[in-house]
Amino acid sequence: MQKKSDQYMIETKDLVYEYNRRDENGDIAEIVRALDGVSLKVKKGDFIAVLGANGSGKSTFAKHLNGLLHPTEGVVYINGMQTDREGNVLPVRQMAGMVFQNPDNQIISGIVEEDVAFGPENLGVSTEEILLRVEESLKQVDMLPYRKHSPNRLSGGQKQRVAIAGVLAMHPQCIILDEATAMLDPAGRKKVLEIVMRLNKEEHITIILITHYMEDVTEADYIYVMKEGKIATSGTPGEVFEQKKILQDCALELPTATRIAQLLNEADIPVGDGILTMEELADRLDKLRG
Amino acid sequence: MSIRLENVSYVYGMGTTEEKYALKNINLEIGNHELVGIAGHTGSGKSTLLQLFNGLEHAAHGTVYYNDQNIYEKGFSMKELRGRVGLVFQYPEHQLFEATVIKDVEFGPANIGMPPMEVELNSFQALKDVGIGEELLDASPLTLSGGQKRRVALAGVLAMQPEVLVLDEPMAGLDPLGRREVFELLLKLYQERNITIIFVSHSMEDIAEYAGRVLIMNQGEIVLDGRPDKVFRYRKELEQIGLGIPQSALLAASLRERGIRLADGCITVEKTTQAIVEWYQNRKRGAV
Repeated sequence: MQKKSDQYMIETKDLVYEYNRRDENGDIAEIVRALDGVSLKVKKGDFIAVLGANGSGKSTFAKHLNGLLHPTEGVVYINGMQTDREGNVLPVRQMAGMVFQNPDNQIISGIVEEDVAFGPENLGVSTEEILLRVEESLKQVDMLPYRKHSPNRLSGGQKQRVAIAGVLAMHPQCIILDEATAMLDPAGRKKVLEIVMRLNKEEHITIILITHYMEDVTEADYIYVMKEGKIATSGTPGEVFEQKKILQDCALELPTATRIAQLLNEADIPVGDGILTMEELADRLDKLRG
Repeated sequence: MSIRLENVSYVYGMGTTEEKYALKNINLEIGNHELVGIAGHTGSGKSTLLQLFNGLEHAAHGTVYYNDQNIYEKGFSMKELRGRVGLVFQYPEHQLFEATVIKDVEFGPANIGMPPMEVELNSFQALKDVGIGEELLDASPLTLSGGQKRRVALAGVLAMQPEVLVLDEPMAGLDPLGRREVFELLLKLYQERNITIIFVSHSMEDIAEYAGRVLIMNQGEIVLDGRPDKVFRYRKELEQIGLGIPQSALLAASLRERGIRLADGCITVEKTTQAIVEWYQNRKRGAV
């Protein structure tokens, strides 16, 4: 069992998560099934995106990947470790680091480098090693010049980069970004995505990007789309983006290039399928000139 | 209705060593029934500008006029101004605090001194306008979904019956469906009433789609001001200040580089698609 799973960074089997919604008197009003039988496998080094509208269960799913939540039913393995087994909590969190939506909720220190050092300090890493890791991590997110700054003077995107550095300093094999770009301006969003992609390509860190922006995931290796706690569809970006009906049901919006391409196809201008970027679309139109 | 800013500057930490201009010498007039989008990267002064419109922030230099009245003059009622220029903050749902939905909506109009009967009627109507059903009037705001909470917060401002609705990133954090709902609601309000709407957005697509006028801010100044199709011609300038042009406009630009010229005004999906269809048909006709 252990052996079979650890070729995957992440493996979930029939994952179910339920919680109680209580009324004003504190009595249980209803039992909500936030995740309803999610099974998936993520290979090491992959860049995976999980798409879904608000309330689709994608954040609840993310919180299972580093043991912040434990399954009501089913199992979650991170690099072969079952997340809800005693003694696995710390190794799992070191293996799979998490970056959250609101940059202001995850910065705790008054100085950037102290904030980045917090994780490895907690893991009992030696002081010299911490210094090395802080420098290396800040370099990886292009924030080294800010090491002595106060985080509250940074922009949202810079804060998220510091949060990513804090995760990197724990030397994780996997990073989960739970709508980490949702509150950023376009420039901040672009930079964070660039860094995440670089970490995936150069450091071979497995990336799980949770988002409702389809434009963010055109470069993912594989996409899962969630709706009402279930996986509604999955595939490569090209495959998923063609499933117009399902995406519409999931309240998602296609990347602009894909949307225009589909409208053109409908208008009998044969640009073809699988178009994800404006460059691709421009190329196809260029070819149509013959 | 008109809001006019003359030579307005705003300074943080005035008189200290950390003195910093958040706004520099702003001259701006926004008139009746306009739909204005404001864009600029973080720290460009957008939020400060919005708060000058209803007197929440006070300019360090210069004057703000509402209907040609200097709002800083003695005797000018700021309370009345705040009822006329309704400001919806970013993540307004964080500010819901009453025990029930209806009480929360009534707080604003009651606070500006509206008679109780009107408060009740307007609050009721405002909730209807934002699509919150009667069954939720007595619910605790805490039990609502994120999108519902945001609409309740918006109703709280609408119930004051403002002449100007000012919104700081009304779509932040919403999913695509939620964004569209908020925008369709704003468009409906704009079309049905003689109201001016001013909104901040990071999305050039949203601005291209909905705004009739766009203001681009950079380092405390308004650097571009005009119709979206005109403003989005300044691609290089917009990219230099960390913004950009709508995706559709990028496609048009990319095609232009390949020698394919589309009609002007390709800033939305609809217009761009239409322009490509026209180009294609003209080519075919030419070839035959």
